[in-house]
This record gives sequence, structure tokens and C-alpha cells, in this order.
Amino acid sequence: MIPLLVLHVAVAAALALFHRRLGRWAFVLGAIGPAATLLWALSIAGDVIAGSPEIDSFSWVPSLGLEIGFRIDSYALLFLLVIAGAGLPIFLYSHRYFSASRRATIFAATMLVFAGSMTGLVAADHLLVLFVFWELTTISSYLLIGYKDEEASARSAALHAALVTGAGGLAMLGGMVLLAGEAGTYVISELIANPPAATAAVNAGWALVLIGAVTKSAQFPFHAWLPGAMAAPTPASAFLHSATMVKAGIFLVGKVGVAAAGSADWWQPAVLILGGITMVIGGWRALRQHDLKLLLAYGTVSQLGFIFLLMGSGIPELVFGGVALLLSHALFKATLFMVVGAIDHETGTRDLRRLSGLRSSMPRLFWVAVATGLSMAAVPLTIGFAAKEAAFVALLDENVWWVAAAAAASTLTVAYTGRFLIGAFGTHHPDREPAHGSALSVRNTLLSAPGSLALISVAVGLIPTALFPLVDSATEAVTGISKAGKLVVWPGWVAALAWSLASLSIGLVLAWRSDLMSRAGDRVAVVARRLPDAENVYRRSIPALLRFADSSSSLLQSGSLPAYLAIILIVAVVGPTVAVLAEGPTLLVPENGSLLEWMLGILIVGFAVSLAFVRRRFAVVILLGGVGYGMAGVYSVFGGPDLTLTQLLVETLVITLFAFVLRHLPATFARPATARLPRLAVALAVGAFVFGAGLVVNAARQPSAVAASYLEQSVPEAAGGNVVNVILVDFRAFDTFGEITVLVAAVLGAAGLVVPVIRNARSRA
Amino acid sequence: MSLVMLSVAAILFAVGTYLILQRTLSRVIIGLGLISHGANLLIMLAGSGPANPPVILATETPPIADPLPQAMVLTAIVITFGITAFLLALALRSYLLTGTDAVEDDIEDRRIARHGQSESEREAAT
Amino acid sequence: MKSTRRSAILESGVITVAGPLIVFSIYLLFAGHNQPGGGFSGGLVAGVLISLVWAAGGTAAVRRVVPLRATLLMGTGLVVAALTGFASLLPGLVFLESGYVEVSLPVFGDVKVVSALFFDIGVYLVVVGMALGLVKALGEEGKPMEAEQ
Repeated sequence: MIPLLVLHVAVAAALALFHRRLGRWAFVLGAIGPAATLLWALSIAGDVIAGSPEIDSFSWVPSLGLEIGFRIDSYALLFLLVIAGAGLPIFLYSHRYFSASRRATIFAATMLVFAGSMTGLVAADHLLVLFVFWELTTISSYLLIGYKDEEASARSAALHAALVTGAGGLAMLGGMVLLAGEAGTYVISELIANPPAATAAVNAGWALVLIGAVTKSAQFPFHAWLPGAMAAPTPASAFLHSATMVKAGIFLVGKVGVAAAGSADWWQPAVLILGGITMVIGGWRALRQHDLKLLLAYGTVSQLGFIFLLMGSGIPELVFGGVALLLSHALFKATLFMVVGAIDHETGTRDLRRLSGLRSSMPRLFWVAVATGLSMAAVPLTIGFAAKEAAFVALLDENVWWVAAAAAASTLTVAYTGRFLIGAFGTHHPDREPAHGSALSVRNTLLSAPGSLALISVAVGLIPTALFPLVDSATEAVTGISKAGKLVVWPGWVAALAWSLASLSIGLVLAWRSDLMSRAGDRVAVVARRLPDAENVYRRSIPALLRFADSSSSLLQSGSLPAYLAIILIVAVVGPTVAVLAEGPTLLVPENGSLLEWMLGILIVGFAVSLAFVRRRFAVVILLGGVGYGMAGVYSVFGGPDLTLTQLLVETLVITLFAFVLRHLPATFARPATARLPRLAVALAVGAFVFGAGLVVNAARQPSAVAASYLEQSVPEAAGGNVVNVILVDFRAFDTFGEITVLVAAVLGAAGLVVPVIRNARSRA
Repeated sequence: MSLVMLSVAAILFAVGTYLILQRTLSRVIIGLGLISHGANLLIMLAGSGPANPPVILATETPPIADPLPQAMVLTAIVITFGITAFLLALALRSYLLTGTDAVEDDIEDRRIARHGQSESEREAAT
Repeated sequence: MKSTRRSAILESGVITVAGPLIVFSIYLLFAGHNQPGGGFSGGLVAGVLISLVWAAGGTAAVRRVVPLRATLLMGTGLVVAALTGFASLLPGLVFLESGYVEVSLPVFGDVKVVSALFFDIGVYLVVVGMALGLVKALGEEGKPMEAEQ
């Protein structure tokens, strides 16, 4: 695993280094990454599917128990195959798609970094490792969407995607920390095997993880970034935004679904509802698009919703259907994106109102599109049909309403598939010339990559049982149940088939009478405009966020030192106070104190309080000295002759230094400019806090064993009777060494600050 | 722990806070000095209270004071001295160069604060 | 340059107390392991003496009486302390762990020589250097700004 990741990074770095020489061949070189993943995944596939996961770990910081752990079970293997299987043809396709330029090479390097991150993400067995790879995919997605960085729309789409998925990632990190804290482990396989019991923290943890998955997989209400991400060049859309990255959220909910549904009872309904809404909204919006790529993007949103609800449910039968759909979706959606890319590349447009007659001018591309489009529409004899049947059968066992919702979404899918195929390849303007002007044949690589995926799609559609071991084993890896579903060419006359056929036929009618559809759609759109639109909400929330940042920083970052100190002190007082009051503190009942203590106390307080009022500088020096000498007396009462001695000597030197400095300054202080009352309030709060803290802390304090052992060991171990000195020069000598180093630094700093300035002042005088 | 000493620590903190919350650097230094006295006193209070010195060959009559807080406070006294000296040098330099030892507002921070205000005011105006 | 400022009483007073203070300072350093005292307080006593010298004769007097650079004292102190630490490694102790040997001296009788003493000497030198450096730096006779006018 680790060599594989290193290979990705190394090749990506090489591409970036030699971008001048490589040109478009960077993509061919970059294909090494997915090719190596594919070969490796196939080489371990036999063992992994049989049930022995491939485990690889690297001890990073052993003293902290930080391990970079990887564990490839058949669930992870499935994703590895999808990543590499989609990645390899897409890289080869990009070789033809891009014209040679420096930026194309960097694009290739970024795609490769993404492929490596995605590989690491699905293989990770440590929550934090997963998080790091998760964020790496977010960053590479940002760079790829913003490829056309001279276009403002591409930049803002990239930012939108990065903000939404990045914020989701942060939420997920918080959730992971909460969960790991409750479960006592960061290792994913252990966490899933023993999910923590449902406490408030665990519930919050699962909710935050779900937010991460929802944003990453573009689920309602965060789905708006995915259509925006279509600003990316088509290879990136095919790779990241249909086949792999958006599946990361699905990967996560699939992986933790059983554990989460077991420990939080709201998880299953939440996943089903979010996925269900996404599925219907996405299908509906897809029908209303004119841009072929946006049509596919909304279709992706819809299908992600369906897979999300299946995989996240934690019900083995549904997960089985979800895994099957995920495979079929990767096969047909990546292919269709590449078909759109080819059309765009050859004709210069993706608008289905302008395209016409491509069936005759691009016959081979047409058949590739049809073969995979049928799979998207789940027409019998395709893998899409087999997968959807498995899902329908499972849903029907659970609840008839869920199958009805899924059938409604399927109807929309059939309809937009029809719109896609007819719109892209049909002849709408027989009188007009086709948009590209002349009949073209699509270049070989632009055709062979989607063509090869289409061939695989058709092959597994005819023999779906070939995929069964993989799907079944992946399902078993996350749910523990094998043979939860079936993948068959023809299911026989079962109830689920009725739903499929009904959605298929209604969908066909809708596709046929697209004029009726669009008129009905206009009417719905009038109503829908009044509802909050996810994209508008995002667009309006960004300026609001910026305004909030502005006003809060002008409040907090005023530039005034007293204000900063006051904020810090208030937080330092309020935070612990709230925490202690919430716990219900035990207070120590203090003794009154001896007469000597009272006298010293009154002396110190008298000096200290007058310090607040006196404005003559030299009086200040004397009062400060009074406080210091008083403290020396207190140390003496407390049995610290060393302290008394040191305090007396230090105080003497401090007075000298103050005298040195104050002789340069005016005799009185300027009247403070800051308001007196707030200062007094903060000061009293701090004083009261210290008083309370003294009572609380000392009530909780146990006599320290360290002190006793120091007293015992002082003479035998260090041959010293003055235990305080022995602590300083022996037991804790390292601390003292640090201290004298600090002293040296302070003196050098003070001398450096002052000497040149004083000399300068003297020479001028 | 005695009530009077805890009160003294609290008052030292309060007066110290009052002094550091204004701009004259030499008063800020005095405030810091008072706060560190208060902190030292708190550490001593967490120890054993009035007792005999922890010097084994001289006195072994209990109660013997806890030596650990004493070692910490000794360190703290000397470090505070170093810091005070450094801050005094800073105040002196500031006075000799600018003619005042007051801490002015940070110019960059003021600019940021104004940016926020003008943004929100512009928003409010439209 | 500041001859008018010199006070004869202060000068002779400083000369009188200088000897006892130096003895006291060194006593504190050596007695510190068993009695109150130690490198810190011993060094501070020497520091107080330096400030007294300043009071009697300004920085010029300090330079004459202590013809050493503060940085040299502090640096030597740090090196001594560090070397003591590393010396502990030789007999297989950990860094700065102290050991001791008993030696018989003609006058003092049996004396335990503790390696921590050398560490304390390092501390002492640093503290003396610190006081010297601060007095020299902050006590520099610059004119206040007002004096310019």
C-alpha cells in the first residue's frame, strides 16, 4: 500500500518537474499510477475476496501510538477497482482531450495526486489517516475545478466545492475525535467492531461524521456544489465528480453504517430521508438542463442519493444493492462523461439545443452512449438493471413507500437518459447543418477509453453473476452478512419487477413527450422559485459570513493592548468559573491565620493598594519595594529561609533597576486614558476569581507524594540537607538549567535594547 | 490555608490587573510584579502553610514545610526578576526613542478594525 | 566625568562592606547545599554589591572594580553548569544527576564534595553576570531627553 502511494506522489512530482518536456504525454505517464493500483488490486483480489484482508501499517510516531494503518478488505478492494478502473481509461482519454500546454501537465500531476489520495482514503484503517486523505481529495478537487483560472465562474465554483466539502471535512474530524474518545480507539476496524454506546457525545460524533459524508457526496441540502464543479475539464468531472471522489461520502457511510445505525437510532431515518430527497431533486433538475454535462451532473446527484441511502442504511440487503449500483454507476457515468467530453471536443458545444445529427456523423460514439445509457436507465440485460433490481427487491422487503420513491426517481432517470440520448444524437434541425459544420469521426483515443468501459459494462450486464463474488464479499465485509442479494439477468416475475417496468415505461413516455414535460416543468419551476434554492442559500451566506468576520474582528482586534488583555482575562475568569460551578465545587474552609500573618497581610495590602493611586514615579518604587519586603516576611513565616533571602536580595536589585530607568522618565505618570470603571470591574473579577480558585483548588489538593520522597531522599541520594537547594541543583536541575538560560537571554535582550539608545542620547547631548 | 493570605493573594491579583489594563508601560511592569507576587503566594498556599524550614540537618521538628512549592517559587522569583529587567529596558527604550512610555494602538490592527467597520457601514448604507 | 556625584561617605561605606559581602556571598554559595543559601542567593548578594559600587561611582567605577565582561561571566556559568551535567554521564548517571565523593582535607576534616556544587557554581556565575550586565546597561549615564534642550 505504502509503496503504491509513494509511486503516485513520485510520478506526480516528476510530471510537475519535467512539464516542459512532457506535454500531453504526461497523461500517459500519469496512467502508471492507476495502472499500478489496478494490477496490485487484481493481484490481491483472490485472497481478499476469500476473506483475508491485506493489512499494511507503518509506525509513524511510536511514542504517541500513531500508526498509519491500512487495511484492504473486499469493501476497500471494490473501491480500489473503481478508482483504478475508471482512472486508467480517463488518463489515456485525457492524452487526446487536452492540447499540449504546461497547465495540462500540471493538471495531470494534480489528477495523479488525487488518484493517490483516493487510494489512500479507501484503504485507511485509522480515522485520522482517512481524514488526511479526505482533505487531500478536497484540495485536489479544488485545483482541478479551478483549472480555467482565468474564468471567474470556474474560480467561484472551485471555492464553493472546497468550502462545502472542506467545512464538512472539519465537521467530520470533530465527529471522529468524539467517537474515538468514546470508543477508545482511532482504528476504524476496531471502532466498527465495537461501536460505542449511545451517549450524547457519540450521537454528536455520528451526526458530524454524517455531515462530512453528506457534503462530500453532494447530498441534500449541500448538493449545489456538484453541478458547479462541472466547470472542471471533462476528464476531471468524469473521474472525480462522478466515479470516485463523490463516492467518498458513500464509502464512509457504507463503512460505518451498520455500527452507526446500531448505536444511534436516528441514523437510519436520517440517511434514508436525505438520500431520498437528493435522489428526487437531482432527477428532476436533470430533466430541466440543456447543457449535457449539467444534465449528467444532476443525474449523478440523483444516483448518489439513491446509493447513499442504500449504503448508509446499515441493512445488509440494501447495502448489497448499493454496492452493485455503485459499480454499475461508475461504469456508465464515467463513460457518459467521456462521451460528452468527446462531443464537446469535436463540435465545440454541449448544448443539446444546438447539437443535431451526431448519430450519423459519430456513429461509434453513438453506440457507446446507447450501450451505457441503457444501463443508466436500467433497461433489462444491462448491469444497471441487475443492480437496481437487487435494490428494489431489498427495498420492497423493508417498506413499500421507499420502493415507490425509488421508482419515482428511476422514472426521472429514464426520462433524462432519453433526453440525453435524443438531445445529443437525434436530428432536430434537418434543415440546418450540424453544429460542427462537417461530418467528423471521433479520434481513436477519445473513443477507445469510453468504448472499453462500455464494453465492460455490456459484458457484466449480460453475465451479472461475474460480479457477484466481489459485490457479495464487499457487502459481507461491512455488514457481516453474505448472500444478502442476487445479481441476475432476469429476476423472474417478482413484485419488484413490476415497479421497474412501470418506471421504465412511464419514463419512456416522458422522454418521448418532452414538450409536455417541459411545460409541466415550467409550472413547477414557478412554484419552486419561492422555495429556498441550495445554490442561492450558498451565494447569500458567503457575504454574510464575510460581514460577520469583519465585524467580529473589528470588535476583537481593535489594536488596543488593554482591550486585548481585558478580553483574555475575562475569558480566563469566565471559562473555569462556569466549568467549576457546573460541577458543584467543594470549598475549603480556611483558618483565620496567625497574628503575624495578619500584620504582614495588612502591610502588603496597604502598599499594593496605594500603588494603584500614586502618580509620582519614585513613590511607586518605594511602595513596590514595600510589597516585596513584605513578601519576604511571608516566606519566612511559611518556612522558606531561602525564599526570604532571595526575595530580599531580588527586591533590592529590582528597586535599583527601577531607579535606573525612572530617572530618565518624567516625575509623574500621565493620567491613564482608559476608562477607570471597566478596569476596576475586570480587576475585581480577577481578584474574586483568584480567591474562589484558592478555595476550590486547595479543597481538592492531596498531600503530594513527591514532596515526601524529596524529603526522604535528599540526604542519602544527594548528600544535601537543604532540600530546596537539592531540588534546584539535583532533582530538578534540568529546570534550573533552563531557567539560567532564560536569564542570560533576558539580560542580553535588555542590554541590546537599551545600550545603543542611551549612548545615542548621550552623544547628542 | 489561612483566610488572610488568600485574601492578600486575591488583592495582589486585583491591583495588578488594574495596573496592567492601561497604557503606561512602567505601571504595567509594576502590575505584572504584583501579579507574580500573588501567584507565588498562591503556590505557597497550596503547600503546607506556616511550618519549619525543610532543612534536614538543622531542624527536624515537624511540621516541615513542603519543599517543592518553595523550589518553584524560588525559580519564579528569579525569572520574574529577569523579565522585569527586560521590560524595564523596553520601557526605557520606548521612552528615549518616542518621548513616551505609553503603549500605542497597533497600527496594523487598527487598519483591520477600520476595514471591518467601513465594510459593514457601507452595507448598512446601501 | 561624574566626580561631583561621588559621595565620599558612600564610597568609604562601600569599601567597608565590600569585603564582608564578598565573603557572605561565597559562604552562601558553598553552604547552600545543607543550609539556606545556594547559587542564586550567593550570586544576588554579589549583585547587590555591584549595585552599591554603581551608587558610589557610576558605571565607570563598576568597570574598574569588576574588569570582566558580563557576557563572559554568564557564558562561563552556562558552560560550567552544562559540563557538570555531561560529567554525570561518564559514571553512567543520567544528565545532571549528582554524585559525591568524601575527601579528607587538613583543616575541614571529612568533607563530602557533591558534583551538584559545580552546577551551583555555574548558577552563581550566571547570576553575578546578570547583575553586572543589567547594572552596566541600565546604569549607563545617558542624558534624559529633556536635558537636550
